[in-house]
Amino acid sequence: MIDPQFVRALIHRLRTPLAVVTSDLEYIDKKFPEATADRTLRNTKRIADVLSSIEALLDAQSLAAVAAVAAQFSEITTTSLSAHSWSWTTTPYVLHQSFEGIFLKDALARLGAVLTESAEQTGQVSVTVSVARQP
Amino acid sequence: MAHLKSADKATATQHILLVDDDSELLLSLTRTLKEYLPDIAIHAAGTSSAALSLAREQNVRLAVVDLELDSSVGTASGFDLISALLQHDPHLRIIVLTGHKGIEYGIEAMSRGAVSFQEKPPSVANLATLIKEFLQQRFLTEHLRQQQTARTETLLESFLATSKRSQRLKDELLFASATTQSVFLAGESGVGKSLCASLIHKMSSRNQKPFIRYQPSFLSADLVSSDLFGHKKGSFTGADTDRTGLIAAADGGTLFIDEIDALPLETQVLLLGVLQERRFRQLGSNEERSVDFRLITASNACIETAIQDQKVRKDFYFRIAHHTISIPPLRERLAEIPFLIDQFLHAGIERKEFSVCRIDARALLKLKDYSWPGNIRELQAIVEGAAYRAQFKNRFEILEEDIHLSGESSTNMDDDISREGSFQEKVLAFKKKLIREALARHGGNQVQAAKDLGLDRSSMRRLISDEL
Repeated sequence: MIDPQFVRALIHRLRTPLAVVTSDLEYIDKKFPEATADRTLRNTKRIADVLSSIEALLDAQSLAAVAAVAAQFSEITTTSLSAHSWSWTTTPYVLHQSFEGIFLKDALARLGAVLTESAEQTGQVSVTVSVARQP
Repeated sequence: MAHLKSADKATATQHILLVDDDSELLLSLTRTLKEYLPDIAIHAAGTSSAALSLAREQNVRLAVVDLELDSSVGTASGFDLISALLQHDPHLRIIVLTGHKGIEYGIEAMSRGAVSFQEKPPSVANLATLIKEFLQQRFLTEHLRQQQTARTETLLESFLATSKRSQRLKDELLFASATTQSVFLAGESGVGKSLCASLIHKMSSRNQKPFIRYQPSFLSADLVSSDLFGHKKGSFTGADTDRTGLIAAADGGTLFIDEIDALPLETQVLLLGVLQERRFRQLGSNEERSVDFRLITASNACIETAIQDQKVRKDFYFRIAHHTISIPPLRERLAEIPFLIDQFLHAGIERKEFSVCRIDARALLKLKDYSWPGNIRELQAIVEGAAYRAQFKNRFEILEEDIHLSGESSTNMDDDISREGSFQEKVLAFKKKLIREALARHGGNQVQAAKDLGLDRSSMRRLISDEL
């Protein structure tokens, strides 16, 4: 399981230099519009979004909260969601090797969820997640 | 466009402070923010102590503060700085800019007094917009506060002279207007209790809402409760229609109940419940309504005696008298008479009732020699009467002969009675004498005068309108 404290400390350490880069890029973009810093700015925003998604997964307390973060990932599609069950499809790579899959599964493990996956002919994998009802 | 102009004006030549332990970020943010906020002086501090020094030296109006300023203590350093900055200037706007995400940090920052919580990396354009908005907000709040202070001072200056006793009263009225506590005004008839209640309301934050004045007189408990709480049709004999009631009418504002000792005990119990629960029920209704009003009460009776005589419940009195203001009688502040005369004459001129604007020195001496049992109300009546007489004689100045004090009038009345005439005329003159004397004893208060003479209020009113 991922150590949340380590991840949070790492993210915190990254945010300040990222703020310097973003601020400088905004300065360049405003002062020298021809420098096309806007593309670089968009990409620093992507980095910031990744950090925010990871933090949101570390904070997630329910299936719905995890599914809400997953909705921001481009290769994950939710097919059904309830308080105790969440079904979604993705690629085997995303599920097993990408940071999205790693942090998603870690968040679900902290919720005590059970994952079942079934390969599909389209090259996709269907995942069903269930959590026990509270007594 | 006018709004934008005022926003620009609000942000002109103001000082803001950036606080972060990362010098690279301070340099970068300062340079970029300057592009968005060219009229604002931006100061940067890398430590809490430097931030506090700059806040003291530069009249900083807004600060952007990181939470982890000292790695040995973590986020506590940022939270402590927020508290210290606000202790120095409670109106400072603080935006937290941090790499720490998490609702617990946001809650702590807001509870310490920060106005916004932003994550790193920020969009500097958005941060600049936020800074502009908070500076404008502060500018408008300060402007409003200045206006209110000026208005408050004008109100007080127009009402009270500058004697020591008046200064004490001014201070008490100001204090009362700044709180939401119930206020009890004590003082003889005619000292200006209603005016004080109205001033407290006008100077308070409730001044845009209604000021409702009520005098229970000697009505039955049903009628008084109906006046205050309202009633549903048929809730008691005579309740022919639904009635809203004064408590509902005072919602958001101030309810002033004069002569609180005349409030029936049953109504005191009901009102006590409303003051405690902030909810009430109309007579004959099952539905409870919430209400928010500030209660001011007054009495010219000795309240301790009223409690002993069981006219006022002790628990009710404790609830209505969180703050008691004693208004001194006019005989104890004779030095204020010239000031008050000036106020009454100006008010009469403004109402276009007369154009008399001065008083002769001997006339003034005569007024200062009098004991003023009817207090300011009596003084007002006598000065206005004198002004009418002066006006009738085409003068702009009140002379001694224009002033008819109560004692002198009674001599004239005795003449009227002893003068030859029919029995009916003599009875009429005697009634006039009794009524005038009672009114003088009670400072012109018709209800008290009626009670003193054993008359009901309507008979008293008829006699006054028919015969005086």
